Amino acid sequence: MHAFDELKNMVDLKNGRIDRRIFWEDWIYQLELEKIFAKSWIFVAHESQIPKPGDFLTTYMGQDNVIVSRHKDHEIHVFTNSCTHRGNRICFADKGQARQFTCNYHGWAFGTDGALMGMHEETHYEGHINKPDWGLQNARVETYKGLVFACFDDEAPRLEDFLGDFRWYLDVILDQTEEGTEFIGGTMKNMFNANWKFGAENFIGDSLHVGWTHASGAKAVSMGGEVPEYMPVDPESFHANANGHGWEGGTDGLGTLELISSGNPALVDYFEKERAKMAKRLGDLRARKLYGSVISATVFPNFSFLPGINTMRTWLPKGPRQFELRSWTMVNKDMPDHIRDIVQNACMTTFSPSGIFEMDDGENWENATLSNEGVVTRKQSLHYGLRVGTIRRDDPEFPGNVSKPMYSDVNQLAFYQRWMDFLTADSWADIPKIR
Amino acid sequence: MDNENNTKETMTEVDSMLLWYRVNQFYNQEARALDEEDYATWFSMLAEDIHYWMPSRESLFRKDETADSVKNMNHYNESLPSLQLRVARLHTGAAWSEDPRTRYRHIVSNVEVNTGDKAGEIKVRSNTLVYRNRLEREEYWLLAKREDVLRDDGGTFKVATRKITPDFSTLLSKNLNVFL
Repeated sequence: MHAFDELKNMVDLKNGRIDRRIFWEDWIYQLELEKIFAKSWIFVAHESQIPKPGDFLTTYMGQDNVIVSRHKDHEIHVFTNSCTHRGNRICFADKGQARQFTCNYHGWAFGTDGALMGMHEETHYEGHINKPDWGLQNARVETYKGLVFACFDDEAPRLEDFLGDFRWYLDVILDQTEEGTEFIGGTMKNMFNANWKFGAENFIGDSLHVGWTHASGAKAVSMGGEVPEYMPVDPESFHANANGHGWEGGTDGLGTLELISSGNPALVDYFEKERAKMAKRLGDLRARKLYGSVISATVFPNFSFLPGINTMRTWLPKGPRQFELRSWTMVNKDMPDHIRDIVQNACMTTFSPSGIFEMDDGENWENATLSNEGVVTRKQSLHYGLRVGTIRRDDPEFPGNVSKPMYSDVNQLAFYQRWMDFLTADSWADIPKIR
Repeated sequence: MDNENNTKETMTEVDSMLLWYRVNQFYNQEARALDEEDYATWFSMLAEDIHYWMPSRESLFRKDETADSVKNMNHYNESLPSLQLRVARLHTGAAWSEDPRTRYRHIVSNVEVNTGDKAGEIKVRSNTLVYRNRLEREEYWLLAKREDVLRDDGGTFKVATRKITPDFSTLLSKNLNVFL
């Protein structure tokens, strides 16, 4: 296939060049659905969203709508949300409580584990159906410290191996306390007319945009005063990636705390106390240098977060030129109510559709996508060459592939390398287990 | 219903019409201030202690519906200073995405006036339709219910509380760069 051969040249890791067609072409998008979203582990929920048997939520793995449901044995099941009779959707609520999911069309009913239980006028089906054959398609489900991931490919490695060295970074937000974390306040959803990868790559490595795109937000927070240096380009700031997942940011332990605590000194006191406790669990490096710094991260392919601001989000693809953003606020379970309220409000004020930082991102991503409608425009490759080739795999402090300082395209290129690993593989046997 | 009965008992029909007219005038002025990004005027129409709240919504089975709570995700959960902070962003000279400006139009209708819980306050329900048009061909429509407490302010009003209940669960645009 001519076009498929061309695909391999669309990501030039050596020179740091990306072909714009990966943000535009329908055939590439269809490959992403088949070869990434149907093969990779995909974030689907936090365990706290479905604490009790019968609790469920609906979300997407690629464009496959799935029900994430806690069965009566407390196990979490993830299965396709489409009746095996005529294909109608069986659950239309974003979340809730259900004993079963019954299709509106002909009353076929499925259990909270996806098994076909029965149907309207069932006696007529005697001898015409073997019900155990007609359950919904279940994905594999595994969790990592509260985060629930699902995967439609039996050959995929276990979740912990898929995350690999990146677990060391995830623990900074997931393992601060004995009690662990929870999502609070429901789900925020909004649409972007942009390619989903712009969200993922922005969070995996784009510290460079912060001082420019978000200049208005940063100035507003300072209310006319001196704009604090939220993101000093500390020579120790860094990009780190492992298996296509990436983390980037500072090591001052302060930037994000200052941002979310402006006007709330109580918050700084609280976090400093937590930091001391956290050091016992995670060590000084993670508790004192990473925690509280301005950091952003992406778990391949489409789950991103900002430690400290605590927005957790997933970029759900809806075609090559549209995605839906779903976002949540995560807190530690032992966090007192008044601190939760401050964190929740700070998260909404900065990173929600009306947030003074988030507001400007969509504008950039939409137009970075749309400009590729021009056939001439689309032929010019994009520069992803900042600090290309500076990765170290033997950093004395940080696991994974590390490059310093953080103004860099290193993590973005690692993301696209992984993207290409998946797109050009026939099966998991062809995908490197460690990157 | 009690409030409506009270209104009928204590006010003549002409009084009610006059109050309704004054409230409509106030809303029209407010809509114009927002259309024109005249935030100084808008802030002058808000009480110092305003609670300006727009919860986000999800699609739930009827049996699972619960009352809105500020503890949930909110598009807005604001005081006057936090509203001012949001507007300050626009005036930094660095809000690149607001230049060229968004064209806004606010339509307020279905105004229902009721007596308030406190003297000098009234409760008002209205519907609002907000249109945004940007750059070449970006177009967004927002529809919402507004529940206000308006405080009497010597012939005019101040908005003491406003709850905006949007009719969308998924916001069909990349951001919410507008007040309703």
